Parts: sequence; structure tokens; C-alpha cells
Amino acid sequence: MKAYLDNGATTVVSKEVVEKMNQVYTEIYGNPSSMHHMGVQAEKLIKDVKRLLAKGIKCTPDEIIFTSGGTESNNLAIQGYLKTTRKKHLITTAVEHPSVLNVFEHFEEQGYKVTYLKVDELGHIDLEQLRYSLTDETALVSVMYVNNEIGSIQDLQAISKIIKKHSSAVFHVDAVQALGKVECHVKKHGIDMMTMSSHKLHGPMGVGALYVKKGIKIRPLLIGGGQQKTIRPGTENAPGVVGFGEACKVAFEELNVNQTKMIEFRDYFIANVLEIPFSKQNGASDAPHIINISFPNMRGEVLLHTLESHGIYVSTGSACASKNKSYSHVLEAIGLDEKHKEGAIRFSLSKFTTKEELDYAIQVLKDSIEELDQIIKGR
Amino acid sequence: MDTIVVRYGEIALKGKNRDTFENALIRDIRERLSHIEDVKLKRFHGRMYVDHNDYDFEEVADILTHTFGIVSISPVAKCELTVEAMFETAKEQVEELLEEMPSFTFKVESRRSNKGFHLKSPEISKRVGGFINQTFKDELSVDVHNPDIVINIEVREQVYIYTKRLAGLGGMPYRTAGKGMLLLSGGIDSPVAGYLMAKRGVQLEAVHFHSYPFTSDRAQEKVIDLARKLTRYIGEIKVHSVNLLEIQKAINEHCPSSEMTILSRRFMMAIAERIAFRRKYKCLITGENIAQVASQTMEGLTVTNSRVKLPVFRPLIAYDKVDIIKVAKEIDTFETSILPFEDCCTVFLPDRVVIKPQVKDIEESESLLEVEDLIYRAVKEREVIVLRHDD
Repeated sequence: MKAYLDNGATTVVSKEVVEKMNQVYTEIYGNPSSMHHMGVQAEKLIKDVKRLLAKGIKCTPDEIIFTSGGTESNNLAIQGYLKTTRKKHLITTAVEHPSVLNVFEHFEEQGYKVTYLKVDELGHIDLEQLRYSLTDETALVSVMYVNNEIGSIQDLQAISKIIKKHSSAVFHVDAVQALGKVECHVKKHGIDMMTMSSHKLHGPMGVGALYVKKGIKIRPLLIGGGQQKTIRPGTENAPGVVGFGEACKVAFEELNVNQTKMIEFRDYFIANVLEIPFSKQNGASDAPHIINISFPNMRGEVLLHTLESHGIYVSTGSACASKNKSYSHVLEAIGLDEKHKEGAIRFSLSKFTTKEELDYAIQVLKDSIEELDQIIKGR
Repeated sequence: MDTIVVRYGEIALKGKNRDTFENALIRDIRERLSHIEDVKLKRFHGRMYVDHNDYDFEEVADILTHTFGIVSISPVAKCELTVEAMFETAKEQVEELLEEMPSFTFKVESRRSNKGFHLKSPEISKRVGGFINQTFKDELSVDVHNPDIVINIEVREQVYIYTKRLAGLGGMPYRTAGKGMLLLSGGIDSPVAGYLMAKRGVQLEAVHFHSYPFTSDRAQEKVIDLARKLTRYIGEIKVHSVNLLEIQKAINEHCPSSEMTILSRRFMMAIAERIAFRRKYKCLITGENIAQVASQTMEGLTVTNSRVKLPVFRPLIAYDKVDIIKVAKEIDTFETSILPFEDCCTVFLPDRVVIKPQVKDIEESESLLEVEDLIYRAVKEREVIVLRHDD
């Protein structure tokens, strides 16, 4: 038996997505910029996806730029916007993805002032701290919607209200783990720029999108032809975009059903796993698909490989190195002690996850931990 | 066709065995150059001449300078059988050298194998030397005892002139000094140890130990990557991958935790020896280095050594770490070695290790284990992978 519980890392590409992409690869393979019919057909497909995505996140099609994925979208949003303003203060959180955090660190080295908002033990930022951190000099605030390691969800509506009220800063949201899992409504949430990725919701890798609200100017990071209004030059990845579109279509349609199912499974899994002595859940049960649990007497990587040998795939928060222990900055930020950081495992679900898989994983987890416990006690 | 002259120094000194070594070197070079079209090898008076298409020079030279047993190579310039042509060609060569260094001392060495040519060797040297000395009065001076540059002139069916030297690795031709079983880990030392032995002509196979699933697949991949780096020099290598987990679990259960490392190492030696016996390999090779870590004390080495009958060669025993790293960088294993994946899991690493173990005590601990059975199963369940340079 196999249980793939690493959907936060990437997801299986669904059959209907592969079929649609295959059709583009083999039949509608024109360059979207070509003058002829085949080019126009490909361009039309991309436009269709723009409309679909726009409808899903409640924006207009020309507010969407296709990219190579989450990392590029985050970079384009942050770096592209900072090229247009002279303001030198930035705000983000301590629990962002490296493709945001490292960009901010880069700007800090360039002389920018960066405020890293602290989070509480559930991974939520302090709105008070946000409020008094904002100044006239604040150019941009970047906040992750759903945390990829512990699943915490930030209150975007409250955050955007505070930003708008106390500054003229632009609000960027990394919604890579949110799209297709929770409601992403750029108007309601007051988002100015939003990062999206395809491969977290059963689409292909190497495709993503950035929403940029009309009126907000960003500059390109790449220089090339005139595609996508020169903001993101380069021949559009038409098959990828079509696959992304199909994945979004299904995800939007099934959002409520999948959400309900995953929440039920999530809670079932957590309740059962927490029966293991000393285990402890990290972060909040906010997102329907991300679960983080520490087994304080274990080493995460050892547990990961043991589970893997039984066909169960998960992630850890640290590498099993005897030197230079490097722990997850997220687990650090929510204040976990050494043992809980070292023994942390992330289980992430998808709409394809079954109860049988979870029961199998729970059983193997219980057995493996008992076995490993024996070995460790033997010393 | 262009020509490269190959010098192999030390082999040329070997008395009656010279043929064996030369043949091994020729076989090795042939094998390594087999993918390049129109390559011809000739042996002549203790050197070798490699004819190749001119556009293949970089690749052929790179292969030759990474073949054990070759001391240096020189690209050859050819000209007609006249003294004037020799002057002109020697002059061109000197001009090229002067682009790299402002001045140097030189001498001319000639060999006349084509006895039809009217001048004898000393006369050729004298004339060409005189001409060059005259032409480059400001930059060059003659030094017959210790010159910076030797202008070699060989009078054959044509005249061969060569001055530039590209250093080779030296050492002895591969597979001329017996077979050794290398204990290969993902660390910095053992690939270097294997390389140094191979460079002296020892044919290598490797044994690698892991503790899957307690260690990552990537740790194993890393060792495979390291072994693959060695194939640049030795063409191919067989790697035996042995899971040590059951053994470590048994030690963990029955023996003092401070002896974990030393007992594991004894098992590794015993398993490597077992595989060596089966494969008719005659020694073990390790990257051990005196005083580097707690298990590599004099006492520690004695205890691991006493587990096996085969000789154990430790070419790095007295190297400083910086010197090992230097070689690791030269053979391009360093960057791979420092990747974070560990092949021995930290779960079993004790907080305290015995620094001065005694054979008697360790053997006593070992007697608590089903040693023979554990070794038998570990050897039986090993995986074998063959890596080739051209794959």
C-alpha cells in the first residue's frame, strides 16, 4: 500500500489536465505570438485560462500574468514593484516561503529597512505589530495566505484594512498553498498582488501566475520580446497554462466539496495520531490540507525514511545532520524547542487522499514510532 | 593529422618488466581514446606518439593528462627535412612560448632516427640552438644543464619539433599493481584514498555502507556520484552497497553505546574483506587518518585492523586535512563530499565514544552478537552497481 501525504510539496497531475495538455502539445502547438491561425488558436486558449482564473479570484483577465511558478511570481511582484518606488521600508512575516524571505534579505543588504512580523505559537501575525510598523516610507507588505509548513491562515481582510488605513503601501499575498484550497477573493481580501502556482493543485510544474491590480505598476525582471505587455517576456508556456487552467477549473468547481472532505480527514488524522505518546500538533488547524505534528523523541528524517520504506511519503522540518543542524525557520518562529523542531513531520492531504491511506499511515506511524522508541531506549 | 608525444618516465626505468607496464599503458590509452575517430598510437624508444585529427586536440590532451602513468605530453609541430624549415618551426614555437613568459633559458635536444638526413644529432642541436640564440638575443639564453625549456627535435620521415609540456598525473598505469577493495563513504577522505592507490596502479572496487531507511537515499546517491568521479581516471568501478542497519540495531541492543562506532567499523572491515575474498581482491583501502576523529586513534586503528587478515592500506594516514582537501578539489570530489547527506545515521551516534579501545574488550562485546550470521546476511543482501565513465 502507498500513501502520498506530501501534497504540500507537489501534487499528482490529474488525468483531465494531462489530456488537455497533450492536445496542446500535439495539435494546437502554434506559438501564441504567431500571426497565423495556429498561433491565434494557442493565444485564444491562454486567454480562456486568463478569463477562468480571473473569474475564480474575482479580478479582470488583464490583471493576470503567467509565470514559471510561485518563486518567479513572488520575485516579480516584490522586485518588480520596488523598481517603481523610492520608498525604502518593507514589511513581511517571519514565516514566509524562502522565495519571499530571501528576496527581502537581499533588499535588506541593499540598504532597505525590513520589518519581519512575529507570529504567535499558532503561526498568526500580531495585527497590532503590523499597525505600528507601517509608516509613510513603507513600500510593500508581503504576507503569506496559507503557511506551507504548519497551515496557519492569516486574516487577510483585517490585514489589508490596516494597511490601507495607515499607509499607502502595496499589499502582496503569496497564495501558493491557498489557491483551490480556500477562498481567494482579491477584492474582498483587499489584495494588490497575488502569487499563484499550478503544481500544488494537480496542475503541471513550471507554471504559475501573478495577479497585479489595475493601476499598480511593476517593471519586468527579464528583458525580451513583447509578450504579456513586456512585463513577462518570453513565449508563453501554452500547454502548461492550459493545464494550469484545467486544474483551476476543477479546483474552483469542487472547492466546497473538497474542503469539507479534507477538513474531515484532517481532523480524523490528527485525532488518531495524537494518541501517540508525547506527540503534539504544531500551528493551528487552519488550512484543510496541512498538518504538522512533532514526535519529540524522534529524529524527523529517520521517521521520514522509515515511513518511506512502507510507501508513505511526508516532509520534515529539518535535515538529519549531526553537524550544522538547520531547522525550519517557521518552527523556530512559533517557538518550538529543539526536540519538537527535530521531530516535526508535515503531512499534507489532497482531494485524492483516501480514508484507507490515512488509516494505513496512522497504523504504520504508530508501529514505527514504537519500534524506533525501542531502539532509542536500548541505548 | 596532428601528433602528441607522450612521456611516461618511471615506467621506462623498469627493467625486464617494462613491456608489461608499457603494454598496460597502451591498452589503457587505447580504451580511453576508443570513442575518438582516427587515433593512432605508436611506441618508439620509450615514448609514445598519438596521431589525431587536429580538432580533437583538446579532448585527446585532456584524456592523456588524466591517465595514470603519463608524466607529460607535448603537442608536436612538424616540418620538412631541411635545416631552414627547422629554424622556422623552432622560431614559431619560441614565439608562442614568449607570449606566456617574457624570457627563459633553453637548450636543444636532437635525435636522428632517419639516418638518411645529412646532419648528425649534435650538429642539428648546434645549428638550431645557434639560430634561436641569435634570433632572440634579448629574451633567451642557453643553459645546457638546467634549462627552463627544452626544444626537442626528432628527425624522422619528417621533422618533429616540440617544446610545450602539459603535465600529466604521473603514477603507474592502472591495473598494474594488484587489486584493492576500497571502503568508500560519502566523506572527503575515502575517494581521495582510492584515487591515490589507483594512481599507483591498483585496480579498485568499492564497498559502501548505509543504514537505509535510517539514512536517506540521497546519501547513497552521493556515494555513487563520488564513485562516478573516480571513473574519469579508472574507466569503470564496481560498487557494493551494504546495509548496516541490522548490525547497528544488534550492537545498539547488546553492546555498550560508547563502542558503537568501533564495533561498526570492525563489521565494515570484516564485510569488505569477505567481499574482497570472493572477488579475489588482495587488500583493503581506507581513508583513515591518524588522530582525525575519536575512532582513528592508534588504539582505534589497531582494533579495527585486528579484525581482518588482508593488509589494510591507508594512503592518507599522515596527511593533514587541508592536503586531503587539496587533492579532493583536484579530482573534483570535494563539492560532492560536503553535501549534507550522511551515510551513517546519527541515531546511533553515542554521546561519548571509547578513545582508547582494547582488542580484548571489543572482542568480548562482539561475542555478545551473532557476528557470523550478521555478516553473512549483510554480504548476501548487498546491491552491486557498475559505473562506467562513458555512461
